[in-house]
Amino acid sequence: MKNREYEMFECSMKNCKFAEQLVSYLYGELEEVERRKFEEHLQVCEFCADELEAFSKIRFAVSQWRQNDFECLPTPEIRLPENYSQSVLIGLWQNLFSLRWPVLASACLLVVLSLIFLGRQSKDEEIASSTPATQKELAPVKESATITKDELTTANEKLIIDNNKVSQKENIEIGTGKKPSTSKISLKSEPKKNRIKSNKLKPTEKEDLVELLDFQEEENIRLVDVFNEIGGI
Amino acid sequence: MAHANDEQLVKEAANGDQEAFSQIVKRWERKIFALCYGILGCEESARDAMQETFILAYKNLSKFRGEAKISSWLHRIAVNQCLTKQRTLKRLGENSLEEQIEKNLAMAELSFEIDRSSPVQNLEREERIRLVRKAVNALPFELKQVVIMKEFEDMTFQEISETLGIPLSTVKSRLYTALKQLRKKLEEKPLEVI
Repeated sequence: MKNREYEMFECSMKNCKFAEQLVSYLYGELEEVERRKFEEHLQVCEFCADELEAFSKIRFAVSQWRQNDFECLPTPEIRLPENYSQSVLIGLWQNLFSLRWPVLASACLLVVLSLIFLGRQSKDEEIASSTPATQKELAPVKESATITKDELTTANEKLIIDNNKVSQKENIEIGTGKKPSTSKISLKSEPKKNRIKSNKLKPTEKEDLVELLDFQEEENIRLVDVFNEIGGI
Repeated sequence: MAHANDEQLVKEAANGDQEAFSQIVKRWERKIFALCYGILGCEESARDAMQETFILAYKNLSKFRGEAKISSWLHRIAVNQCLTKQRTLKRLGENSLEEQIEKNLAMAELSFEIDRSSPVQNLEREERIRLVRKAVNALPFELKQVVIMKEFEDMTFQEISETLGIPLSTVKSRLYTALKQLRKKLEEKPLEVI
């Protein structure tokens, strides 16, 4: 009894919870159990009963419209293109090229990039494979270079010995009370003159001069070392 | 071939079998015509939309992946064709569709003359149809579509749900709302006719 009252109250709110069932009932799509339940509900719910009546009238009017206007119409004949299989193939072709353009473009780009990458890799391999031969070719040069180095060191040692001899001579001069005519001063001043002159020199001459200056500077350092050694003595 | 299911027919048609496609057309042409007629309310436009639907389906059969039913796919194409047709007719002139409907009504009146009912009854019936047609045409498209599928194509709620890809409860609530709106519109007119 309480349930019935509640149903009546709910339906009076014009928002019946049986709305879905009402539509299904109207179109005969309710299962047996649900149909019975809804019929019971209809006895107590004026709102649903009223709606069902109104909707039935509408359905009747729509069915009349259908019968009157549509049922009498013959189904139109469909005219399909004659070359069926050809147009199916064309459709496939169009699909491939109309919808998948981005995919195709990216695939092409990928192929191009991979070709470039492979090309580079093969170049590197070529270089790598050619390297041992060049190393072999260069080996005698290296050996000769080491020889020249040794020669240079021996030459350097000779120079040091010569310088020692010079310093010994100078030491003797210092011991006599004469002003030591040190090659250090003269050697230091000479490059300045040479540098001023070098502005007017030809490029090949310039190179020669630079080499000379470098050599002189090295010589200076050695001379300084020698003097220090003398001082130390 | 006639007993083959839709999936088999679609496969064969996609492989270039014209007979298979003809079978698909035979199966669905009446329902698609009903849908087009219900939406457009005019025989000529419905015929054009139906023709376009099957030609489009025929051309794009390779695109059909078989994830949905062929009926759903055809319905969707048909609905799109109807919408395109409606837009075209609107562009040509606001009244063109209405004019065509009126022409259609005149043709229907001719068929009434064969009816043995009394002239008053005929008039009442005629008025009732005119009103309901106008009210259905005035419904929002999503509501109208459900009404047409239910009333013109005799589809079940489940079939409508699958075709439109919406939940069953949404189909029912749309139909309920549509009927409520139709009731409201028809009550504004003399109800005695109904």
